[in-house]
Amino acid sequence: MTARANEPPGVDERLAASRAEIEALTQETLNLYRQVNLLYRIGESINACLSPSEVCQLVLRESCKILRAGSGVIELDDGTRHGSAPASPSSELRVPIENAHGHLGTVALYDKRAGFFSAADEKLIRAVARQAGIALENNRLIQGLMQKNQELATLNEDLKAVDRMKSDFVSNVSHELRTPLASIKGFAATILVDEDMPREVVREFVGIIDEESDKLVVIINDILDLSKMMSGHMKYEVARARMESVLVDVVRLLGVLAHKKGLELTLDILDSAWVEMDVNRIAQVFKNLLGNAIKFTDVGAIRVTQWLDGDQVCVSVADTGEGIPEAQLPHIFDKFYRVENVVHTREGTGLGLALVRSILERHGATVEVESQLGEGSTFTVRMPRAEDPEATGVEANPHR
Amino acid sequence: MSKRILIVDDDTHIRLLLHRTLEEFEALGVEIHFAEDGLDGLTQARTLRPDLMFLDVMMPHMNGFEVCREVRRDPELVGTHIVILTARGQTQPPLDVKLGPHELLTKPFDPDQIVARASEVLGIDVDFGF
Repeated sequence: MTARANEPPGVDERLAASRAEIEALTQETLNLYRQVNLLYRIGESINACLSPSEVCQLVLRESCKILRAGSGVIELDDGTRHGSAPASPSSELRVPIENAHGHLGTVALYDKRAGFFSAADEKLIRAVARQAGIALENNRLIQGLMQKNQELATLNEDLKAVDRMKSDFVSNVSHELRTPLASIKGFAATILVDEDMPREVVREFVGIIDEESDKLVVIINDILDLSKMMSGHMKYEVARARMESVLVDVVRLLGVLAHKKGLELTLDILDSAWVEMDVNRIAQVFKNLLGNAIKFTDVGAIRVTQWLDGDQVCVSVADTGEGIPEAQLPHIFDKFYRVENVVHTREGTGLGLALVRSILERHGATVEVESQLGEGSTFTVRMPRAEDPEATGVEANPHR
Repeated sequence: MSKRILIVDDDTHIRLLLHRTLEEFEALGVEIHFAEDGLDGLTQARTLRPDLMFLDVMMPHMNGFEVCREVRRDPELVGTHIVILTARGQTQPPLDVKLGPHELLTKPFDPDQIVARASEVLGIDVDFGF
């Protein structure tokens, strides 16, 4: 028997070859398994709603592990950077992180061994980067939704508060209307049933009916004014007038009320000044402020002071009344708002200060309040000062 | 001992109106007293021990429901019948059997109704004058 040159390998050799083949296949399968596993885990992170930094760290950690790369860096276009790059890597694999809306950043892997990354590695990292892009986008959307949700929850709370204030307002207004109405109806009925009522008693009762009707008119006007302001239909007739002349009129008008309660009421004009204003509206502002001061003060004094502060005409109305709790100060100029401790003890619609603010805003003016419980409150109005028409020769309103 | 009515309201005109409405009782010897706020009302209730109290709701220092609760808690004042005169619409609290008023009347009130209630509570018949 002659030995042939191309003798088939012996059993041992064939066995060794297939074992190597199996090992290579196993290795490849294992590798593929790791890659699939990596993609799966990154895919999972999309659903897990991880934060951008968690997504980046997961991608870096797992990518380096599966490729056995030395280190890696993810730079996002928003300026954030994760991981670390070596000083002088011999190999670098860099792929973009993208999604349907565009470029989000870059992932780069490094190793000190030259020619370390293969084409298959790049393909894998591209797939990883795609998944990362989706995860980052999902996260952005979820964050946006959560923020919207929060905003809606806050808005909902605000609307509920306004709704509560509106129902309180309706019941306040109903109260405010019913009290004068009780007098009007009551005295009218009393006059009607008593045919022999002396003339002077009839006159007295009719006087009361007249007075109480005026109260109704004031409340109804306030409601109408506020509704005009809310719809932007309030008309202003602005002319240049002396601030102090408005204050003198208002103080004279409300002085009667103050004296009835035994309160001292003073007006100090430290500086005379002109203001561009709708005199009737500004008078309404000070009637409201002074009316409140009188209403909430049982003993002491109310001081109205006018002075100049640079280009501003300042008027303060200071009382020695019950004061306003600090927590409620920011709300007192809101429509329908009423300070908690007075809701059940003092009459009022919660419209007065809202009107004050609204009128002042239209004049480019401001109002501030300082208050100490049990000590009193001070409201300070600041209006832009106008030139003195007598000094500049501008025609002035002679009545003011 | 003469019967007593206590009228608690911070509105001068309402006090005057109630006084006028109840003046027939005064002619029959019933004392009519007045208080101008909740706290004053409670203080007077404790000293006068009125048979009948008319209470406004919105008053300085103490509202009508608070005054009512204190009066009804006071064992000395079990004989005081409380009528709250409210100008509030729908938002009044439900009547508390133990500490709430015996009855609620809404403003504007009917003078005849006030007279009728007083007449029943005090056990005094008055000629309405018609």
